[in-house]
Amino acid sequence: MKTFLKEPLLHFLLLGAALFYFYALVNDNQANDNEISISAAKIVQLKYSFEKTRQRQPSEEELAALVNNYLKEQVAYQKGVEMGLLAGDGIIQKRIQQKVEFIVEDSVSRLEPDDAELSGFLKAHPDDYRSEQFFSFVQLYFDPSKHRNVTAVLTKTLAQITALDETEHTAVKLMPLSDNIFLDYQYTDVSYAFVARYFGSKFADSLVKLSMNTWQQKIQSGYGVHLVQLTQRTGGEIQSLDKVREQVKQDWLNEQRKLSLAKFYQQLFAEYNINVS
Amino acid sequence: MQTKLSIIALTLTVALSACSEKATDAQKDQAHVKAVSGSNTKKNKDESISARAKSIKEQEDNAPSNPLKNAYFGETHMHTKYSLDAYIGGNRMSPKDSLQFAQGQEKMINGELHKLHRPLDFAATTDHSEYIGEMYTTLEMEAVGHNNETLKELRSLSEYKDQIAWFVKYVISVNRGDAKPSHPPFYTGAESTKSAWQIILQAAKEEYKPGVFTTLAAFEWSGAPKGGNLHRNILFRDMVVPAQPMSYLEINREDDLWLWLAEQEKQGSTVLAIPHNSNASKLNMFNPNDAKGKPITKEYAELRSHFERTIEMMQIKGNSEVHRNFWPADEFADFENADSVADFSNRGLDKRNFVRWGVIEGLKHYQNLGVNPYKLGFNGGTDSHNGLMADVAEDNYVGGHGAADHTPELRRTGQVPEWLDAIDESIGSITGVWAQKNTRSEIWDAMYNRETFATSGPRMQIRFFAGEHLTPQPSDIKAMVTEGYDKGVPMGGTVTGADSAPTLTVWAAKDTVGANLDRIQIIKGWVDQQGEQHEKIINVVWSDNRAKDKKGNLAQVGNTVDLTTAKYTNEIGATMLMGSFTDEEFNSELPTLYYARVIEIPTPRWSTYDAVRNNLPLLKDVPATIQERAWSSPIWFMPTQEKTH
Repeated sequence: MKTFLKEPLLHFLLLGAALFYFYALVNDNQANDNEISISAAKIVQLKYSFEKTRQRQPSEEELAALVNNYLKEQVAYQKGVEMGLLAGDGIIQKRIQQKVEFIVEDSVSRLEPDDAELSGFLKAHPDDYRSEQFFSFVQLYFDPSKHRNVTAVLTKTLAQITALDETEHTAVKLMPLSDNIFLDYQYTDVSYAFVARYFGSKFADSLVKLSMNTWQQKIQSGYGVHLVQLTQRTGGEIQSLDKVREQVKQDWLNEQRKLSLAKFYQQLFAEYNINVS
Repeated sequence: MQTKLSIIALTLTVALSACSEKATDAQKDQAHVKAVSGSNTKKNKDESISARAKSIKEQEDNAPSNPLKNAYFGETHMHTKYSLDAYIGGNRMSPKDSLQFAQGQEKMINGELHKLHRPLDFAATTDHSEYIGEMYTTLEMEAVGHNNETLKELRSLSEYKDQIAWFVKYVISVNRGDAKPSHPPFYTGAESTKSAWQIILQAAKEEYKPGVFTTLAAFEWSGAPKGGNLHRNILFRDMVVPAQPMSYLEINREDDLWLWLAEQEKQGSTVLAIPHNSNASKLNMFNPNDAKGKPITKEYAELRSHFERTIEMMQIKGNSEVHRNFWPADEFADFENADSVADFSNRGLDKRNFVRWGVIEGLKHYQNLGVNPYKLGFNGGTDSHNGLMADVAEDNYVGGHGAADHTPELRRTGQVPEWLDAIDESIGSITGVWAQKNTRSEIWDAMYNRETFATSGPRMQIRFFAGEHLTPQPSDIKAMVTEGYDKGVPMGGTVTGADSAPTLTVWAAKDTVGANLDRIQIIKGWVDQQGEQHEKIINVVWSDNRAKDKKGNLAQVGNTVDLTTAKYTNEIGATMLMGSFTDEEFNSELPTLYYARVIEIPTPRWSTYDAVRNNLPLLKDVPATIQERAWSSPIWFMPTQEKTH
């Protein structure tokens, strides 16, 4: 019984059945018999929201007005529906579309994919599950607002660096050639996320593609431009399912949501005659 | 047709009754939680919980460390589906979901996939402790009482107005007036509260990755006597926590909450409390009288300042720093004032509800009592009821309160019940802390030491030091920081017995992917011998070579926002600013505080992104562009040694 209860299809059917059932009930009460009712709970709610805004109980007259307003809203709505005013109301249509989509998507959230499905998904999207990349590099910062021609400064500084012996490539020697910043000269084995956090994602993306072991000019960060020498780049290999199962499952579920919606719309488009004129 | 429907309904009833409970033993809840945590432990590579504990300790020891400290950004105030009001609004995010969202994972929010632009460094879920037991019973199929008819009804409701009606009928109606609120009839007892707490703790344990992502055990005590907001978020330093959190149902006032926290300290917990929304406190947050109406005492001040180290400066329901009506001389006071907060629950608008007034008033109490009850650093938070974590980018706003504001239309016309008009919502603020490592103890200690700052969203960094012997006009940020720690105190610190003019050094860097900076200001607050408040705002350093006029004012920085595309450029402003202020007017006999405020160049408000994306006109009642900002915690100058802390 339990596994049966966990079947998403069953949930979907039950939910559908429940909706139809309640809809039928509501319909009986309101449309068919031209009857509008207000429940005791609704009156409690009306009183409560009044009390909350005014900090006192409504008088009898005020309560009567509240109830009357509510009933006005209901009959006006009912009449409006009968007059066909629902049709073409963008806000209401959008809201109904959201509700329908929600029911479709909700049926997906209970799916339990097996390993084969997850492995297949991982193989289809290898780049999403690579292990994090790590970088070792040195950098010098230049603030464009402090130089009339920052490109010329970079070129000149690069010439100064290359004129030095490699043993002199130290923070003490090179940092005075650059502008002041809170960042370090040298970083060893730091992750992509770390670089993105301190330099900005543009700079981290540059490191992914940067040539190794040579000084590169004009690498942009969130603060300005940098001279950068990348000395090591590791990681970035595709990971096994066991390591990334949770994330793959989440992404797989998200994918199923999109697919089920697409399929749902496909069916609807088939079900209705759609004329684009 | 009728017959067919009846058959379906019958099937439905049979199917649902098949899972009604057989065991009524309250222990069943605990057994279930054990089973859940047991299977989760098995999923870890470690053989046992103790092995994982050991590996956590190793990971903490090996986490990268910076002796000059890094700025870490995180969330300290938000709600998952374990908060009843959030669930009612449609929140289906578990504590674990939210902690994963904080690390950059994409999740379903109000029926749409949503993710952060950038992961956070740390986070705490702070569910309203009042009804977490009821939520456990509602959400967990295995829980005792899960098939209670009222809860079945709750789960079956799909309309927001029906859910609200349910909430009013079963929860609000039993909690009327000023009396102590009570549990609704479907509450099954303390075991369910403990079980919910275990699920919240389990998520914090599983998602903790020392050095990368820190989780903190936490909950929100949601006391609001006579509608005045006295809520506190309770954050623990480690996993030594009580068996269940306390709520407004058990503890009716804040002073009793502190006594309970003191009791937890004796039991081995290390804990702090963060107040928020002083703007909605109806004069209760900084009340000169205690809960019983008597003037506060030294004991009160000691207890309060022991547990309350920071205050949440700003959140979705408004900015609490200052209000333009009471601070007309502060040209940046008109920022996310959330005026409509005053219109609900008879709150009204009063200067004495704002943080700047409160922290300066604390100096007066210090003069009278020898202890400052409001020695508060500043932190941020969102109070998102959507399960979101510090989702504070203006171009990523999807609302804060479930069905109340989850569409652009509702955000333009709707209300957050009992709180404010949706157009007045800000997107909340984020906490920055200066810590050597990203671990629980380091992050928590930074909050305890008030080495914190809040920003209205962008991940700006701000450094702020003070001392009598700091070098004015710093030009090297690392030298400024090193000297600041050696010869002065950082933000959140206290200098006692200074007898010469203090120098305050300050530096800020823009968000790496955000807008440039306009200026850094220092706000000085003090009280004279008569206990009168005084304050002064000093422009310390600014962009674009503007000149100060005779009064010390600067021309506006300009505005690059294109309101038809909601885009701005960094052609104005500065990427980094560094400077100092030496206070020649300092009177060593008067208690004084200083805090720094960094102002960004103008950028689009969330409502402008909404308008541009949906091809709607800009809203008239809110500004189209805002100047985001960061607030450092204050630094205090005290004439004599304070009695404690």
